[in-house]
Amino acid sequence: MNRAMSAHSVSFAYSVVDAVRDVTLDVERASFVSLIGPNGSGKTTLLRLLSGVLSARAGTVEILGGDIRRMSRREVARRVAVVPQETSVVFPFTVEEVVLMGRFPHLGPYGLESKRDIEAAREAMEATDTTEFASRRIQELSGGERQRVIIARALAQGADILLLDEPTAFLDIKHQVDVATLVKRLQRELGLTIVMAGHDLNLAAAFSDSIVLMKSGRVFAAGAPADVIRPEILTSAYGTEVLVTQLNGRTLVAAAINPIDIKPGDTK
Amino acid sequence: MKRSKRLTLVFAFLCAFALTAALTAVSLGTSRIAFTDAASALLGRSDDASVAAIVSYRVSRVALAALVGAALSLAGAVLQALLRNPLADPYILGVSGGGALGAALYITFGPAVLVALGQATSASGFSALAVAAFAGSLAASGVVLFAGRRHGRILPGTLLLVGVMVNALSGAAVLALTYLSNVAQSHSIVVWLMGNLSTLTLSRASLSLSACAVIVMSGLLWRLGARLNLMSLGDEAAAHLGVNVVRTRLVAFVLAALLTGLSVALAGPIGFVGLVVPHLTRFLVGADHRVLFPACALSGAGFLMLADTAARTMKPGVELPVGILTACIGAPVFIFILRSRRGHYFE
Repeated sequence: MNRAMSAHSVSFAYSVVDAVRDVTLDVERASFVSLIGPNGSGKTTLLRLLSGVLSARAGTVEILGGDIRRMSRREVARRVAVVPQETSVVFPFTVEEVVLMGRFPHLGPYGLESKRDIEAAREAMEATDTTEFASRRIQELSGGERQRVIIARALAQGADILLLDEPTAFLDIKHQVDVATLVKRLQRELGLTIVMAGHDLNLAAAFSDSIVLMKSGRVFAAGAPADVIRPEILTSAYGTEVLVTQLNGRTLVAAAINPIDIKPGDTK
Repeated sequence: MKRSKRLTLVFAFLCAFALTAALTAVSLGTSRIAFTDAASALLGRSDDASVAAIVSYRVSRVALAALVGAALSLAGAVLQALLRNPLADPYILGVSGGGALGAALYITFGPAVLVALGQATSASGFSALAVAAFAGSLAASGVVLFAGRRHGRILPGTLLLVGVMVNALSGAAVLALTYLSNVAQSHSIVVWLMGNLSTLTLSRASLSLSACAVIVMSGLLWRLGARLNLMSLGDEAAAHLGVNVVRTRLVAFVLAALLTGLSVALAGPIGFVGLVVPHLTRFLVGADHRVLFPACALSGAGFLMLADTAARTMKPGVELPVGILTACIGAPVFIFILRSRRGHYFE
């Protein structure tokens, strides 16, 4: 009963080749699950199946015990919020307007926000420390600030489950840590269920309750960080030598880069 | 709360603008009428019969300008959001090309060939030319909507390119008809292509009918406002937030095509209004479509009423095509605002 979402033998193909093959996955309520794996391993496709914008060719996805195919987009949106890699905004929306958009699945027939919606947006902006940007245009913000605003929008949505697709992909180290820490805090303080896809194995190791490692559309390994973040497993999954070490009680992961001997003046 | 105060002010300003534009348009012309006289004649309280007659004649034309200005601005705002492209205008769906082809066919081959059309016309109170243009616009936007779809989904990029192609194709056909028809006919085609707000062939009843149609469609569009806000962030983002993207896009496109088709039928292809007014209005009220739509309707109506007044009165005895004025007023203002700080949202 304590499952936030689950996938049973889910498969999906964009064309002929399966992008996700026979994936089974349980996400505990209020847990932080990281989805890692090489490019093209099916992380994003799996997230899109979990958010219902794609429907599985085989298998079922359940959200809070209900079959996702029986829910309308609106019903799904009240339970699951998504933070994409990047959000491009063509028109001059303000930060406040973008956060209020998260209230769409709760709006009445005329599509106007009530006091409660405005209050929810205000709380979401406070929780993500974006209140100071409220009246600025979203285009004026930096990548890290913009991503925090999109997380605020997801919070305003009032969903219990937050899916994040490489939310730190375009950010520098500090902002990567800031965004990931914010997500972790939301899980702890608000009891949100987090499923976050990403390439940063250090963040995954530090923040996750469990990690799902994907390769070629299948689950390659899954379990607690200590069981998945192991050099032999990662090396085999990514196809390059991966080192795992402990430093001051933290797990550090890095690719074993062998510097190639290039003499100055060798480049063409 | 600061925001709602600002919006109230902006809307008060836009209402005043549209009202002033209407009064100006009714007062100015070959014979000038004082503002106050025009206002009292509009309210049916004029003692001067000749003033009342002039005002009643001009009112139709001014109402048509307001209607077409509002319809084109709304359609432009919708298409810019749906295609996520600030360069989109109402004619991108092939509506103007198709309308021109319909009009040119009617002018060249006349009611002799299109008897059925002539009958439909007399029943509806619209001119046969308007009916032909409307039919042409609808046919063209039907083709564009059909060819811009794949697996039942509208693809914005494909749709845009198909629209450009359909306009090019209709343009070629219109050119051929202009070349092959006699001098009087080709002159009529060219005049129609320039766009024109004359109401000589438009009955009061059909004008009121068109007004009702525009009001109903604007209302339906307004109800899509919150969805269109989300869709201007992209399809997937909108779907994640609970929007039925496929249905919303289809309904909004059809409404935009109908609004544009109606204005092309009534006034020919008047350029620039549908591109510039949504942007000018966005600078004023922001991008939220629930606010943008009513603001667009007011400013589009005011803008075209003023442009038409200028076109009628600039040179006594001559009526310039209103499209010349919309471009001459719109383009410099647009560039000026684009380069100002508030306009800094294009990259």
